[in-house]
Amino acid sequence: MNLTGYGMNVCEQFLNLVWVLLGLAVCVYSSGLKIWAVSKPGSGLVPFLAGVIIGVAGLVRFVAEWRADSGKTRVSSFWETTAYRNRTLLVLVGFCAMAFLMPKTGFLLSAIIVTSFLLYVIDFQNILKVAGIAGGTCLLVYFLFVTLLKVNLPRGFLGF
Amino acid sequence: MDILHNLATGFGVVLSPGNLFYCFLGCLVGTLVGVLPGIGPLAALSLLLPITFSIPSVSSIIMLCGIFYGAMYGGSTTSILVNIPGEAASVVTCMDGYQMARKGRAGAALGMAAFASFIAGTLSNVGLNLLSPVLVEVALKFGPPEYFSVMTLGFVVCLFMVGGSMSKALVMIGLGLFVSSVGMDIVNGAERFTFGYVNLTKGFDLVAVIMGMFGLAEILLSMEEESTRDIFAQKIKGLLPDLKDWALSFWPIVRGSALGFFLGVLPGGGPVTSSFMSYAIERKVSAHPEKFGSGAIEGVAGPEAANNAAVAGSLIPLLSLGIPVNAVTAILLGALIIHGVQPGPLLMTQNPEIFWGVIASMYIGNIMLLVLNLPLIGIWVQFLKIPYRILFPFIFLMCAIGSYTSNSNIFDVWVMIGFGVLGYCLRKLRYELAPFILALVLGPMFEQALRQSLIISKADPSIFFTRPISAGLLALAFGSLGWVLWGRWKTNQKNIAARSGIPTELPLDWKDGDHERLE
Repeated sequence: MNLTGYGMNVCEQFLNLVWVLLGLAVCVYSSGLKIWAVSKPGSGLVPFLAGVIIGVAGLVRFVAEWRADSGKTRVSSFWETTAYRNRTLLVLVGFCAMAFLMPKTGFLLSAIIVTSFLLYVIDFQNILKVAGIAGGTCLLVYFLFVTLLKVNLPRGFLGF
Repeated sequence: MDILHNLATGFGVVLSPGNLFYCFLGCLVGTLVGVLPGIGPLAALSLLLPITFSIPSVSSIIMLCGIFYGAMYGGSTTSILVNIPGEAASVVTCMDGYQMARKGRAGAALGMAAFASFIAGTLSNVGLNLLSPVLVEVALKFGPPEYFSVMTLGFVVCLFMVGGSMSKALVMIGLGLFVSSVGMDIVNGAERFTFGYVNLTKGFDLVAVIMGMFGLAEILLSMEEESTRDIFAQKIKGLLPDLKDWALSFWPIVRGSALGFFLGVLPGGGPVTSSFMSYAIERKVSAHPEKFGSGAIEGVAGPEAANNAAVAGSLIPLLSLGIPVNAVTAILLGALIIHGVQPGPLLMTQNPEIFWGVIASMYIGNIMLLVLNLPLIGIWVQFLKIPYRILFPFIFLMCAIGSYTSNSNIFDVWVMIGFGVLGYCLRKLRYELAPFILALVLGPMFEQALRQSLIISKADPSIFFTRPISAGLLALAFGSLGWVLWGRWKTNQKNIAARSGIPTELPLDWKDGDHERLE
C-alpha cells in the first residue's frame, strides 16, 4: 500500500469523517448513560456535550473542506518520501516491539535489542557503533531509573 | 509585609541544598532543551515527568518550572547561531538575532537575549508575587458555578488564541473532554466507555497520554527531518551589550515584560503568542521599522523579554485558581496532581512551601540561568553539534519507561503508542494539541463544577447567569467569541467582495439612489 500517494486533503477529509462518526458514537453511548436524571445531571452529560462538539465541528470542517476542494485535485502527500514513511513506521514497530518484549525479556534486554535495531536501520550502518550507542544509552537509563531513582522496571527471565 | 514574610518562607524552602540542586538541574535541562532544536519544553516536561515520581513534590515542581523558563533562555541561542528556533517561542528571535550574528554581532545578540530574559523574568516574578495573593483572595469566593464559568472562558479564549483553525481547536477540546470522561464517573461510580475492560476503569493515564501526544509524536515527526545544521562558526565575543544597545533595548524590554506578563495570564496565551506580539509592536513603534529583519537588537530584546515574562504570568492562574492556561502549565498541573497536591486558592494556605517555594525558586533560577547562558555559552554551542541519532535512543527509552512507571502497567505503554500515533497524525494535519491537553487536564474539574452547580440549583442552569462573577465571566467568554467571529466574517466578506470587484465601503460622495451605479 503506497501511503505516500494519498494527498493531505484526502487524509484531512477522512479525519473529518472520523470526527463526525466518533461524535455520533459518543452521543449515542452517552444517551445510554443517562444525560439527565429527574433533578440532576447524569453520567452521560459531559461525554454527550463532548460528542456534540466533536461531531458538529467535524461536520463543519467536512463541509468547508469539501466546498474548498471541489474541482481541485490532490495536494501535497502525507509523507513526502518513501524513506520518511519507512523510518516513521519502523520507529512505530520498534515501540510496539518494546511494549511486547518488555514483560517477557525484561527492560534492559528488550531496550538493547530494539534500540540497536532502530539505530541500525534508521541511521547507522556501522554495527559496532550502533551496539556501543544503544548499549551505553540503555545502561545509562537503567542506572538512572533502577539504581538512582529506585523505579521498578519489568524483569525478564534473566532477572533484569 | 505579609508578602515579604511569605517570600522569606519561600526562600527558606528553595535555599535548602536539595531544592537548590533541583532548581539548578531544571535550569540546566531547560537550557539544554531550549538549545537543542526539536525538543521543546512541552516534550521535555512530559518526558521527564516520571523522573519526578520519586522526589519530593516541592522539589519536582521547582525542577519542572526550571525546565519551563530555562527553555525560554536556551531557545534564543539556537535562533541566533543556527537560525533554527530551539523552541516555538524563539521563532521571532531568528529574524534579527541570526542577522546580527551574520554581521559579527552574535555576542551582543546572545548577551542582550540573556539580559532581557533575566530582567523580564525577574520583573514578572515580582508581578506573580504581588498578583497571586490578590487572585487567591478573589478565588476563595468562587463556588462551582464560577469555576465552571472560568474554565468555559479558558476554553473559549483558547479557541482563538492557539492560532490556526478554530474548528480544529474545537474538535481538540471535544476530544480532550471525551478522553477525560473515559473510566469511572466521579459522582456516581458508573463506568463510561470502558466496555468491561478493567484497565480502563481508572481512565487513560495522564502521563501516558501526554508522553504519547508530545514525546512519541515528536520522535515520529523528527523522522521526517534531515539534520543539516549550519552552525555559526566564528568565535563569540562581546557578550556584554554596549550603551547604544542598552539604549535601543530599554523600552522594548519594558514593553515586552509587561506584554508577556499579561498575555501569559490569559487562557491560550503564553510565551509563543507574546513573543510574536512583542515583535509586531516593536516594529510598529520603531522609528526605523525597515531595520527589522536585518539585525535590529530591539527585535531580539523585546520578544525574548516577552516570552520569559509570559512564563511567570502563566503560573498565576495555575497557582491561584488551579487552572492551566496553556499546554505546559497543563502538564505542570498534572504533575502537581500526581504528587497529591491540588492547585487552587487553598494551595497558598495548605501548601505554602510549594506556592512560595516555586515563586522564590524563580528568582534564584533566573540568576542561575544568567550565569549558565553567558559565561558558558561556548559549551551550549558545542551541544548544538550533537547529532539527533545520539539523542534518539534516549528519548525513545524515556517514552517507554515514562509511560510504564506511573502505574507499573504495560497497558499504559500501549496507550502511549496509541496516543502517539494520534498526536503524530494530528500534528501532520496541522491540529494544535494545546486545546486537547487543556481539555484533558481540565475535563474532570469542568465536569465536577458543572454537575455540582446543577445539583446545587436543582438542575436550573440559570445559576450560571444569576451569580455576578459567573455571569461576568460567561459574558466575557461569549462576548469575545462573538467579537472574533464577527471580525472573521467581516474579513471573509471583504475577501469575497474583493474577488468579485464589489466595493466594500461607500464612496464619500454616495447619495441615495446611487446603488443604480453599481448595476
